Amino acid sequence: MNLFSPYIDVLKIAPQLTLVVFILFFVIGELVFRRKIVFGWFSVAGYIIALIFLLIGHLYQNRVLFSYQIVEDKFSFFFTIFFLLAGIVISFFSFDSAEIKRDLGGEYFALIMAAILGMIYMAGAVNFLMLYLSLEMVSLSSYLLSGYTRDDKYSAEAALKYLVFGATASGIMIMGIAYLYGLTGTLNFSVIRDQLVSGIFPSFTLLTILFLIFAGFFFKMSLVPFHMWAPDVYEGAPTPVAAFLAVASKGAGFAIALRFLYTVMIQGSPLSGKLLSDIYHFIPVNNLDWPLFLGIISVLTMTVGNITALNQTSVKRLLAYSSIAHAGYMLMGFAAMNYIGFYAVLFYLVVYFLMNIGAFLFVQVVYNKIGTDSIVKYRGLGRRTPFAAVMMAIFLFSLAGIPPLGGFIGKFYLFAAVLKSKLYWLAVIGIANSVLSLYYYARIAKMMFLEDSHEKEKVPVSAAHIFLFVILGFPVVILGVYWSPVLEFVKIYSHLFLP
Amino acid sequence: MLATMLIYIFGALAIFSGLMMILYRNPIHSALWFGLVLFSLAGIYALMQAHFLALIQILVYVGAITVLIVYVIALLNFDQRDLVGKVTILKGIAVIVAAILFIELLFYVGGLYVKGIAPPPEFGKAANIGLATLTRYLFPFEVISILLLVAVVGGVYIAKKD
Amino acid sequence: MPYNGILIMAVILFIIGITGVMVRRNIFIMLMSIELILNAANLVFIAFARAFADPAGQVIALLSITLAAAEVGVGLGIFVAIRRTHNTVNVDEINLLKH
Repeated sequence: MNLFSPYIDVLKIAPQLTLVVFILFFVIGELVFRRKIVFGWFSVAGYIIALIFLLIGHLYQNRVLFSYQIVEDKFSFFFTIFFLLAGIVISFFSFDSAEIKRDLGGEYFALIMAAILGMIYMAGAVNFLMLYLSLEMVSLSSYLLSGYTRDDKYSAEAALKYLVFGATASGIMIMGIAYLYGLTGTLNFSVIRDQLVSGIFPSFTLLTILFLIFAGFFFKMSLVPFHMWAPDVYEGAPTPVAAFLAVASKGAGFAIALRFLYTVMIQGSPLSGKLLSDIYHFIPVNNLDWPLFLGIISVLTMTVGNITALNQTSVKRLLAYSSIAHAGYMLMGFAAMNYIGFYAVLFYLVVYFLMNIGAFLFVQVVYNKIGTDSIVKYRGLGRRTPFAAVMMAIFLFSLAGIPPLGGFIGKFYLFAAVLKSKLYWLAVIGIANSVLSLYYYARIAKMMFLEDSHEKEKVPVSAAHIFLFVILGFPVVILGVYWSPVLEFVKIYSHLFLP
Repeated sequence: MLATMLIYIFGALAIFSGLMMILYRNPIHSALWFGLVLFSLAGIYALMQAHFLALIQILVYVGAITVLIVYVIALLNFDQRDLVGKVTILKGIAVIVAAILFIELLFYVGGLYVKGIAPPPEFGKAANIGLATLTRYLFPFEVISILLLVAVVGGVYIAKKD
Repeated sequence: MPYNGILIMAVILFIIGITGVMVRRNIFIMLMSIELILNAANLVFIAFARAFADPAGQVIALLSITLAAAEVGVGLGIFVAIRRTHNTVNVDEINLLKH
């Protein structure tokens, strides 16, 4: 191995370097610029420059960088685009947020950008050291972001709860990584995989270690035993941050879980770049029934999320529980363990990105005017802000999975994957949960359109937010009838690479 | 032989201080016990041929982190009333979960068979670690520098008064 | 070298840390318990680094110490914000967000 290859590889990560340059610029620029909104435009420019570098440098070939620390393949390309677009959308989202307007400055955009940088590394990590560091980078920025409105009681409390849960979960994970290092003598995914395939380890030990490592993954994905933080944090955090955590942070959790399970744990050799075989098997660990295990976690997650969401009075908290339930739906794609399941998760993430940020955006619009997200205050909003309310209805029905919308197509592929693997019980519970979720989504729509309130004053929607409603809402509608380009895209980009 | 004995002594000290740390009511006392845990771990590191890390443990953990915690406890001058938590069912469940985890880990991980090889004498010296950090592990090293910058900026921001 | 003894020490420290986080309600002691968990992991890394004569274990321990410092910095910053808004160190009293 060339000792100095790390120095040469620096030139190959121009998109990430762009983000680093902008982070430094924000920190210094805070002293120079008086008008804080300028940082928002700079951050949008930063993400766009990073996207351009990414598209230029992307030669459709897999490569390993920095002596097996991160990898660049189609999968990481997909997620890099996902996170950069999330960054652009969240920047526009934050422009006209009443909660953080006063504090909107270089620090805010630097923290968001640092979290996105960490997420990009998470999607590409092929080494446990890199995985842990990037996960912590995302976590630390997220703790600070959720406490960003520092004089708000709820925000500070959200940051504290997130810190305690997050630091404990990542501590449990690093303990598991330490033991895995002791078991295999390496932190490198491909070497660990070679040793796991040979199957020389005591199986109970391996199972214990895997559960310790899963604690960190499950925390990021907000799956059931580690989901308690999500509602409190989403409710207390400023709304743009809540949307950011619900979409980008969760997407990063799914990225590492997919990469770990489908490169390190998978049996056979799907590593030549194609995952085309029909059904996969994970490496047997103490005869653990992987589909059953993942299916049970999925069922618990979606059921807990949906049932608790039923009688929420705060819309932000309701959306938090709904996002837990959606993590459960996406886990069905893992449990199916076939190729459809793999790209169905990616497809669902794309749709979830659009509709979930859209729903949070409406919460923000309403909050800007009436200063609360209580569900009873949503009465009659259909008259007070017709455009935004119609868009919200589209997002809600898409989240529930009503047919001519994007959410339905996403769920359709997840259920197709589950049925292909003959996990009928999982499909039945999933459909029952979808029906259950319709109740609370429809309740908000009913409040907005069918009930009246004595308030007649218009709720204004700013230009940035109208722009966002358009670019988030129309794809949701179009994906419901014409989804094949996106489907082909995620099929192409659902190829993992492990050297 | 002496090294083995010292490791056990330091280990016992670390465990005892750890217990004291979570049993004491006053956080200042806990922080002092915490410093003792870190100090005894530094002793174990030195005996495990991780000389540089032992030094870093003392400098960063004992010297900076513990002092910072003590300083913030004293600075904030919190209302220390009613810190003895009530015994609840939730805490009972927590202790049971911890006990199960403990037994499981002890059985399946604590008894791992480790066949150690004697490392070369320069192993664990600053030069060796520095070489590894600046060549093979250069990238994580750079990433953590960004992380520290973010932590500093965010920490200052969030603690600042308007 | 008594590797098994060290592994058992690490498990005990880890469990003390987990118990501390779950049972204690003082945020400072919870933060210190989390640090104890990280230290247990570092101990395992260093023990195995010596057993394999592999500097990787020591490098990750070094980076982990750095990370712990960053985490404490962030945590204490958040505590200062909590002091401004809630004026308590007891997490049971910091419960404005519904359960």
